[in-house]
Amino acid sequence: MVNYYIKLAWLSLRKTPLLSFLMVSTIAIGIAAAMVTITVGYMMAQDPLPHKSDRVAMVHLNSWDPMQPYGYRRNGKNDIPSTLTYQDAMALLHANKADKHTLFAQFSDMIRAASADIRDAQLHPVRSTTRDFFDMFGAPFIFGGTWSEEADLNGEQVIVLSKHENDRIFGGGNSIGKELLIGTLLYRVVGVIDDWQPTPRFYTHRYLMYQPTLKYFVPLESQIRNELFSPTSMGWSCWGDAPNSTLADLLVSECVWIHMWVEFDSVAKKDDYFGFMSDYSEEQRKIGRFARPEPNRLMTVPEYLKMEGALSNENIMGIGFALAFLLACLCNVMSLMMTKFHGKGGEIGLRRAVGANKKDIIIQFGFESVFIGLVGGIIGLLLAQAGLSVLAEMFSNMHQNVMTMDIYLMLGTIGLAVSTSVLFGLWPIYRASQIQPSSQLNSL
Amino acid sequence: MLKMRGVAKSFVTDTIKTQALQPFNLDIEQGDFISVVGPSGSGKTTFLNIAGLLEAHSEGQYYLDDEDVTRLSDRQKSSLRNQKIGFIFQSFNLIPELNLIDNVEMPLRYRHFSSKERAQRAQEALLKVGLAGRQTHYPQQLSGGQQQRVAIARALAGSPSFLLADEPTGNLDSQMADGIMSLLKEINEQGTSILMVTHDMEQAKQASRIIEIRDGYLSEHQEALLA
Repeated sequence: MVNYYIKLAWLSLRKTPLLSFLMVSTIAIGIAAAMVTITVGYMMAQDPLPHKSDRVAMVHLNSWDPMQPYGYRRNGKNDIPSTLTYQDAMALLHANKADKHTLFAQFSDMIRAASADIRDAQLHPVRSTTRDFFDMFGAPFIFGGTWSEEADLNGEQVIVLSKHENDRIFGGGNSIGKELLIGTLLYRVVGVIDDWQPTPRFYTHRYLMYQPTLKYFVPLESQIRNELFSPTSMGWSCWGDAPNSTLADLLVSECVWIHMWVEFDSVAKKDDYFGFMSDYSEEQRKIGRFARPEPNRLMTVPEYLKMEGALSNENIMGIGFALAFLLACLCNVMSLMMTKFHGKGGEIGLRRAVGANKKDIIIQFGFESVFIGLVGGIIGLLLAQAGLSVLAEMFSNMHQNVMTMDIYLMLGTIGLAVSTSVLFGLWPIYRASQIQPSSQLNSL
Repeated sequence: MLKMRGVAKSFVTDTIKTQALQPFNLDIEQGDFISVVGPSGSGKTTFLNIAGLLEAHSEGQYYLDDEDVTRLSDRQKSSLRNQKIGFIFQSFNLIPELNLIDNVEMPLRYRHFSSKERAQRAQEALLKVGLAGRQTHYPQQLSGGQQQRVAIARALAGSPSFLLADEPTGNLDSQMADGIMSLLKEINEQGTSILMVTHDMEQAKQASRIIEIRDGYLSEHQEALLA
């Protein structure tokens, strides 16, 4: 009977093409609008480190100006910096109390292959970091690997680059051992990472979370030793009136500019580490620093994303509006189904007369609802893809991962269309099954 | 095979009770061919709907093959209609999107026959009404008379005990009507009981019994027996 019901559903759609078009297109538009906003919200709210997000935490120390707070959070409370001073970052790194440590900052410079003409150089932001960055944040290598501990300690001029840049500069081959020029400094390639875009890019500021990952990575110590200082692209904040016009000034200042993340083998170690941070703050207070009252923070990935508002209220409201629009569309579909099924009173009367019971009628029209939902869902999926492409064009600063449906969302789109079509078809189907056969036999 | 005792039908609204059919008794035996006549609005179709289990009666007892159908559930009535009753309507009631074989097979689908058995029975029924070889045609490709033959084939496909025909020739010209009447008589001669509503007294007289319904009162005429 399943084949028969599918055939009847198809014939029914063909019989009333305008009504069918209206129903399918109404579902498709509603589903597309809902899925575009849901996709963006869902992708923004992904756990970027699902296997260890509760064991990886960001260190925030309150080393800020005792005279005024760093800023205010959206709840009106005083904020503390999310980056550290160089001296604090180094102190925590060398204390080595966590299982893994990642410090990072960034600078910008002209980059080209050592053998390339100077006119081929391009200005790129460079991530200056420590060797655990790649492992902690899950960046996959296709050639080589991260640099050595010695490279971190000695500031060796080694570099990891992205597959995209490796393809552009070295034609995509294994470029380990080849050399790049950052400004006038020669850097040796030790690793190439695959296309990698954690969504959201959780380890940085909220306003950078949906932007592409950087393409070059060098040891932080090499930035320090080579005084690679680009004030306009570093993201730093200062207080007081100490000089900070050179990198050397910055290192001894109270300016905050270095992100610090730590990783633990077990969740239990996090509390110990926070205790260590408190002890460190106490020591600093004794020498006249850390005079502000706001406490330090040690936040896991989900905690940090929540605090930063990675999924904003605007996103949630957008999803709400889109679902309300879908609801309005489905109410229209329900009304169209009422019209359609009412128009089939003669057929229902006939089928009931020749032996169909109410359940048979419900199944027949249930299949029709599923069919309408399925076709609407497929078209809605295509419309949503088109909508996401348009959004990706409009918001080119955001990484396309945020505007891309994964397989679960695609299946969810079809599932949502079919289930809502059936749900909103229940009343028309029930009404159809209640048609008194004797009243309709002259209307086929 | 069909026995009605004190069966009546009334419609009740908020303030008015309308008696569509006054209490009546009726027996129909295997092989009967009964015409039901009467002016428009007299209750003929209501009577046919009650006999066909499409509408519930308000009072009395109705036995079909000794089974009291009065308190059957909707599901049981559907099953009984499917197995024991064949319907023929004035306007044929074929589904235009389905070809002839699919139209004729329809009752058999609700009896969950295999596709092979469905096809065999439907082909036999179409052969019986003289439309073998037209299985893949669609209703709109046929004349009115042929469409009614398809409707008769559909009614016969499930081998029912009796056929209920509601003005089966009402939409046909006289030549086609004669053909349909001949076919119905032929089917009746093979043992299938027929209950036929008609306005045409000439056709009514071709039945073995005539029932007249007037103002909701049902009475049996004897002249058919004399004809």
